[in-house]
Amino acid sequence: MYRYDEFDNTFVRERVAEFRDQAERRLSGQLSEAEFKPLRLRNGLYLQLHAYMLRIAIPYGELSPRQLRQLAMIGRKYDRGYGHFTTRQNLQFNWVRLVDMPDILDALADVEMHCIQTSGNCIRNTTADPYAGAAFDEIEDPRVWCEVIRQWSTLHPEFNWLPRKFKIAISGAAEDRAATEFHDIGLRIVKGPDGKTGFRVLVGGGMGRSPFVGKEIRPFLEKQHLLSYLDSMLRVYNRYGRRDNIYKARIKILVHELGIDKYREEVEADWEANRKESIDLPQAEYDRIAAYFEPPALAPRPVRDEGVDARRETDPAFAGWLRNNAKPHKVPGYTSVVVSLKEPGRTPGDASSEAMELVADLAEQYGNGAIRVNYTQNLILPHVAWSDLPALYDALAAGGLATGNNELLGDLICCPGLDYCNLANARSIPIAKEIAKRFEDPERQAEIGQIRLNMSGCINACGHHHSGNIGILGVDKKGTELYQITLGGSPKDDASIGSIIGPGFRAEAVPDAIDTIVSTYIAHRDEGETFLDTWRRLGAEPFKEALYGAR
Amino acid sequence: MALVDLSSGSLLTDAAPPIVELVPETDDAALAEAAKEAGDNAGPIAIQFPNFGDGRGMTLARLLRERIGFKGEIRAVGYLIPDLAPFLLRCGFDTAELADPAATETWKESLARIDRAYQPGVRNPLAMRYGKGESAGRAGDAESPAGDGESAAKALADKLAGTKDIAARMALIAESVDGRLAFSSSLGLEDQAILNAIAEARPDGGAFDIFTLDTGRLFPEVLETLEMSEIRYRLRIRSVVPDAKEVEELVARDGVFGFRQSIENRKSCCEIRKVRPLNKALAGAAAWITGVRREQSGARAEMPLAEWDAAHGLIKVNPLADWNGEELDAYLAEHNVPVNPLHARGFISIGCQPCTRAIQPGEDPRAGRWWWESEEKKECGLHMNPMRERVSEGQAA
Repeated sequence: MYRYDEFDNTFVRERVAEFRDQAERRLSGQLSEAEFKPLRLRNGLYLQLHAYMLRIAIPYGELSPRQLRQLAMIGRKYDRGYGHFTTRQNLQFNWVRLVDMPDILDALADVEMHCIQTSGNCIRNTTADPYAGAAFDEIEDPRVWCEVIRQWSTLHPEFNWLPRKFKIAISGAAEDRAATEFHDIGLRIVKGPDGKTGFRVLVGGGMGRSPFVGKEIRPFLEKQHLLSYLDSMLRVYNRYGRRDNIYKARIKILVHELGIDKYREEVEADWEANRKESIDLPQAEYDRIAAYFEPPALAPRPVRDEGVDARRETDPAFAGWLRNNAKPHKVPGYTSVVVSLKEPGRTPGDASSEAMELVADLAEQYGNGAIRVNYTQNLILPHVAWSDLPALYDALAAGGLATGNNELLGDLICCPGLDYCNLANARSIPIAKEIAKRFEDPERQAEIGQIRLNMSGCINACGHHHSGNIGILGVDKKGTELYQITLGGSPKDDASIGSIIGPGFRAEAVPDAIDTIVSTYIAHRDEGETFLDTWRRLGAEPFKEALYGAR
Repeated sequence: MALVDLSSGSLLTDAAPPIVELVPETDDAALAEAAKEAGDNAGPIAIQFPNFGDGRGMTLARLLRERIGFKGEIRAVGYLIPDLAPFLLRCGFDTAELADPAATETWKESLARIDRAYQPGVRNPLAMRYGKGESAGRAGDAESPAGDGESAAKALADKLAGTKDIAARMALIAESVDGRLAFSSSLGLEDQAILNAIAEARPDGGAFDIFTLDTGRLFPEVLETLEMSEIRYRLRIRSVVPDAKEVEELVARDGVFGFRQSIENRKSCCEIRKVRPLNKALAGAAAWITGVRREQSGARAEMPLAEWDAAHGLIKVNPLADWNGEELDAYLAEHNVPVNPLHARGFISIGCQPCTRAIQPGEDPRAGRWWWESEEKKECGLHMNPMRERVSEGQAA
């Protein structure tokens, strides 16, 4: 993974010193909360319902064991012994104190981490395929470009005061595991006409209160021009994006209102005039960064292992975990393991300091020291030898991290909701826990098969409800929490936005409603059909009938 | 109302009112029109910030600099906070108007705090990961807006070619170029001749900003010459020094004589002790006067009397380019110009003490610089064009 050099280190330390000064001015009363707000936001510090919340950037979801241990330390020393992995591959601490903030930032800088631009109307952390560098279907490792974008976007002089926040995602594999179609800019690494790789560029995707699937602005962009092209895309947005209404300020609205053709015309004209040679990354600098992302030296190994086979025969929980949580790897005899943070009854995405330390240890012992964060709020050990799986499984199970429900119903995405967040209209964690309990039986989940259930506690859609096969949105109707259900969303290559199925449900009725929807799917599905297939074939009627017909 | 100079953080008192004031919605045509109007009237363009979270003005300033090639003052006005200062500077603003003059100190601190940037910018034409110390003059652009600068440089070169009298040349430069005329002197023979000519053309120094790069490794004789010259001409010669932290880091990394170990080491030493301080001193200057002569080395054989220096965004003037050694010696003798006593001991081209030795009669005059290195590469980087170098690297890779 990328390692800071002297330049990066000094840069981050300067930023910490700056924040230390700002925090002191706030604590002494020199700065009012109103003046302090934009400054702290640019360092990821939010004021939430009960306390300050700190959002730490995990650049494109990649962590070293040393970093994860430091996060565990911070959780233990400055928070309540746990952290929350978010749907944006970041980590949040919910109970930090302002007075500790500079020390926390220093502790992060010690392990080459920071909170810069994890909030505010600027370019945020880039989302990437969490299986990058390991996935069997990868065309090219996207992390090099993620790092290039991280550096380019950090304190960009022109693009630090955009109309609204800005998120970029990159996938370098055949399957889109970074939800590129739901980002402000989505980049897919593709093979061009001459066999060289480049980017398919999408723009204007997003969730929130007006969800859009990204539109193609360029089918193929030569890689060396990525930065100058992004520069032009951002400039057109910075100049013409709406600033009169916060709810219409994202680039998706600009692209929607201008139309993709007009937006493209503006971008291409600007790009034509752009000083590409001084914005695009020199090849030598690209090479310097790329050298950090050399894959680990994994010698191919046998693809079958007697120990694994025997355990699978005798232990159904292990077999289920193996089926769902061990993903194919590009090197024979290896696999990428999903470390589940979705044990039924626990808050999705929460990890205790002990759990973080356990994962750090296991990554060193079995995983070539690599750890990833998935936007579905799980951790991933991307490079594990097949024959190590039984031992790894046992060690994870001892820490409650071996729930074999990856991409099944129990793997639901959930935002913090009204338990923490001051934007939320409704609770989401307790509802998610109730649903997880309802579907706790692994056999039931296996019968249902792959399904994406996503839940948000408000219209801002941090829980990605729009892109869930089943989406749940908590709203506040005259002082009562009500949950709207959407069906048919998808975050993958066939990206789509779910449609509202009917009137909302009260909190206690939600598990029943989900049960009804799932049962309807099972009753109607053809051989081999996923939930999405059945939905797309049949439409809303049978589900409506089952949910509301009796009323 | 108070006006802050973003390059120094200091308060400006005698500011001209803006010729035009632009709203954030300004389109390309209006932008070009404003640049023309402000250029014709030699006055500032103001750009409005309705609130500090509105970044449109940043784009407008960058377009004015990079696309249109506007060279005059760009001023930020409206609702601004000190934390914007480094961003404004890097987007091409020169000044910012403050409602409260008491806030100047906070602005100054904000400008000093973050010293590094990942991106190229108007004052930092190199792509990604460069320290502020390396940022050069305004509008560093290799191709587009240099048009005006190039023609101005050409015109000046033609004028200078009309006389070989160095004092007359200095007067011509002072008349033809508006703004600060930076003269970087090494106190060598050529530079002493120029100093003499400046004192003759403008006894109070005028717009000439005379400075020397005090690298910390100079010969004591150089400093003696400096003092002698100040007394003789009643002009202050500024010392421009390297960043102490950078020097500390360099010496910690390479050792006190690390520059002898490799060309890379030597170049980073020159970079930190000479090139970056020079760039800092040149930032905002309109012209840069050097003592370079065509005769001095093969690499300098093509040197014109004046040329557009795109990397620094100024006119580089070489008023002695067409002089030969005899003419120079004759001039120095005739005017009784104070010279460095080391010349008499066989040191001709004098740089930092550890990197300069005396030469034998008949040797190339610059043979005494970095004498352990091969002939062609002996430039410290002051007279290189960094844009040219970087672009060709990019293409080769």
